[in-house]
Amino acid sequence: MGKKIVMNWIRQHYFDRLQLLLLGLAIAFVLNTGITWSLVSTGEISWQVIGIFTLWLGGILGAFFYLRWTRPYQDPLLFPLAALLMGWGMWLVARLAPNFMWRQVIWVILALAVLVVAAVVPARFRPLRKYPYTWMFGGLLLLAATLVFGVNPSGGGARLWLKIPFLPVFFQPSELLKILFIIFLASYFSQQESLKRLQRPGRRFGRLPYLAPLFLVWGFCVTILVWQRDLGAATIFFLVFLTLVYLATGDLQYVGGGILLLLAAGILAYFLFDLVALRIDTWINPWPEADNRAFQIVQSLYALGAGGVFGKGIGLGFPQYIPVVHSDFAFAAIGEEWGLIGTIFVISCFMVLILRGFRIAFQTKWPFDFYLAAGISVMFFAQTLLIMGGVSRLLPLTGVTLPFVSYGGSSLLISSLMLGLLIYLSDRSRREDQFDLHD
Amino acid sequence: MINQKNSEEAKIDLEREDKQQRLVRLESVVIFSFVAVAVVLIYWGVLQTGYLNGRADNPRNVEEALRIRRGRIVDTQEIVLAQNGGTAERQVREYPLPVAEPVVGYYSLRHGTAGIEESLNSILTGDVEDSWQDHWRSVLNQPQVGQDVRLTIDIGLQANAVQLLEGKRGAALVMGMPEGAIRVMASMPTFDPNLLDESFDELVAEEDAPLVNRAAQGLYQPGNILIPFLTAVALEQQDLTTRDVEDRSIMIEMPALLERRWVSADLIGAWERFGLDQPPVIPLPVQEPVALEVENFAEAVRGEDVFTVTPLQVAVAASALGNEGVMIRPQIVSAVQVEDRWQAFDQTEEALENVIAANTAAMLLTSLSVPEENIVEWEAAVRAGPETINSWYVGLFPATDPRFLVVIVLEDEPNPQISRQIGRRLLQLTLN
Repeated sequence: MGKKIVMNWIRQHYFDRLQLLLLGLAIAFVLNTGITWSLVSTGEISWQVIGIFTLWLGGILGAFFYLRWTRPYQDPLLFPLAALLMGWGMWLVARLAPNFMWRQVIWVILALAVLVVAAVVPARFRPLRKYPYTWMFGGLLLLAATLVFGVNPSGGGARLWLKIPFLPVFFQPSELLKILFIIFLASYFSQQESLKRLQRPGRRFGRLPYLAPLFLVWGFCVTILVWQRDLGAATIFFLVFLTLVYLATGDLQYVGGGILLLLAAGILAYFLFDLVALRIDTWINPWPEADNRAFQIVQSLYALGAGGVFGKGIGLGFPQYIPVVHSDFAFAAIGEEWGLIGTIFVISCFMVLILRGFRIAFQTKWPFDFYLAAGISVMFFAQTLLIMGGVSRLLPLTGVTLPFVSYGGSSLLISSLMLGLLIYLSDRSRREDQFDLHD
Repeated sequence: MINQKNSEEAKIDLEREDKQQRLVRLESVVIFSFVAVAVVLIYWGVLQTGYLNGRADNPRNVEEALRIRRGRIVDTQEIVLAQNGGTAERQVREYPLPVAEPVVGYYSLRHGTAGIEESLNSILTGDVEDSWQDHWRSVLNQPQVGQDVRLTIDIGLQANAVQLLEGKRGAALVMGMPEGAIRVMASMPTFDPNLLDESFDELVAEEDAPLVNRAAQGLYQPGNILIPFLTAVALEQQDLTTRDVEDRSIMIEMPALLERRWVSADLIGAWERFGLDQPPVIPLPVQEPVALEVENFAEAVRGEDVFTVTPLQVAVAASALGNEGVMIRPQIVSAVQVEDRWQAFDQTEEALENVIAANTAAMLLTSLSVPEENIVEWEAAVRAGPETINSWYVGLFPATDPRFLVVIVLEDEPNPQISRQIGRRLLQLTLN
């Protein structure tokens, strides 16, 4: 027992130091990027840049110290990673879409608040676990509302947003649905697990508990696809669901079947919807239509090619040639201005974040926590893979944001909420490790 | 009861192990996927950069080109003929003295380049052969900076030539001897390269072809302007005697004489000897010479057949007469600026061609000299079409050991006296 206490103390000590060091590096990087951007754009260190950095730093440090106090056993990597990506994204928006700069700063501050609340408040998620269907239904209602009242803040395109009354703010319900979806699945699978544990040996439940929702979720995703033309969200929801089914059952047949269903939906959509056909066509061969239908993806590849290994440096490339670069193509902009070094660094950040998420899932004591942590990690994975693969033509393009980095309030808030929950879970499982001492 | 509890715990442990295994598999999927993204990024960012950056529809090419700080072009006294203005992001090429246009040419992102801007483009844009240097510059994101170029042109004299040609169509060339420095290269009509982008379509459509540098690119029937060269060759082939070439009368008598004594092959040989089948070696876009062909021998001897030459070719050929039979290689660029100092522009080291014997050249100089003017000169009127007569003038000054050579061609000008007036005036101005 004594040994365990010592080990825990050493680990805690080491983790604290590591976290401080990482946060320091993140602050240094964001400061450096801000100064460089200011010098490149105005030739001096502008008050605006100092103001933005101070706000960010205040938010980061406030959240950091509060979390350290309330969640001392938290995973040491998650918060510095989020802080870095948010700060980076902030300058990226300032550089790519200066009109949205202050909005993004406000979103970052709000997101930090959401992150702290999510990491501190949940008392074992009782209300969430208790009424999964209610939450999910609420989310679906909101989504349904976009079908009727949906708008697109930038004018054309998919109408995935709801206008918040009396404020110049739009909200994207499909983002909120992401976390509700994960909570719903976590709740459902953990219930299945306790039911299974109660069953008498010899009697089999069969596959119905997983097959039925499989088709349900598939139908749900197809609905999103058909009504909203939101290719990205539909794919992400389905991938998250498939992965959680796999984690629950270990049965690859579900995954195989699910992927077949996904492909079937994709092929159908290819012939039914112009947007899907466009995305697939330009994925297979963009060059003949480089200045026409494939303009966006080709410009994205040009950005990656122009960046090369070292990148052009912030403000010195031409990522603005990519339409909507500040949201869907932030990763390509990083490729142009920070080069391969930047993009591979971003990939590494997300990989660490996701793998830490899996580790947290593994350390959890309760099935609900397990599925929640795993679901969040997989959500991050699906989203980052789709957009990073999309802009580099590894995968067909789907319009999703790069978590924490892209412009977009809804995405930032929900990503922070999910990360806050991961921080909460990491703290709790290790705190419970401590309680184990008294067993 | 205890048993049951133990089996329950064992079951949970077993499930934990299963889940851990699944998570580990999932981790491999994550790592594999991200590595795949990284590989694709390396593919675009390292292996395909050449293709992507080289594609014509990549807007970065234009942006990069707009940032290049192109070198200046200056005249022999370092008066600026072309320079860059505008902002760091959007450089603009300016031509303070548009009269230099036929030589300097133009640089336009939309319409390309011409003249020195074309022929010395890589020096002016600062394209370095050392790709490491280029790489380093792009890593540091420094704008590409070109080198300055100094021409042999004397812009004051060039302006005089343009004034003398005002209202006419034609070309004027002044070359220093024996070094071959071209002091004047004028072509009329001309245009203002500062306004090229606005007026390009009209310039292309214009019948008078102002975009053509007539001095180096205009092809004209030579008429009798080649007679001294043909005479020199005939003398050396002993088809003539020294008595046949005693005075200026050769300009009148020689065509008929050569028509009797020569065949096509002799004529073609003479043209070849004076390098009229070769483009002049000069860092400037020049017209490729036409094939040495004779359709009608009688007309060909009089220079009114299909064979045509540029004024620059005539100047180079004429230089042999004033340079003891050795053809001079014309120069237009005297130096290139390398790190704040001028470095002589290296042209080919090929030996100059000795086309005729020194005494033959001296003999012709004597017969064509005008002693009271201390000048060697000859002119020609050429039927260039059913309604058009062009005129030529070649002058060398001073008559003994010439230091300047002038060539004038005027389109649609039947009176060669006009060419002579312009040529003589230009020589006078050159001396002052």
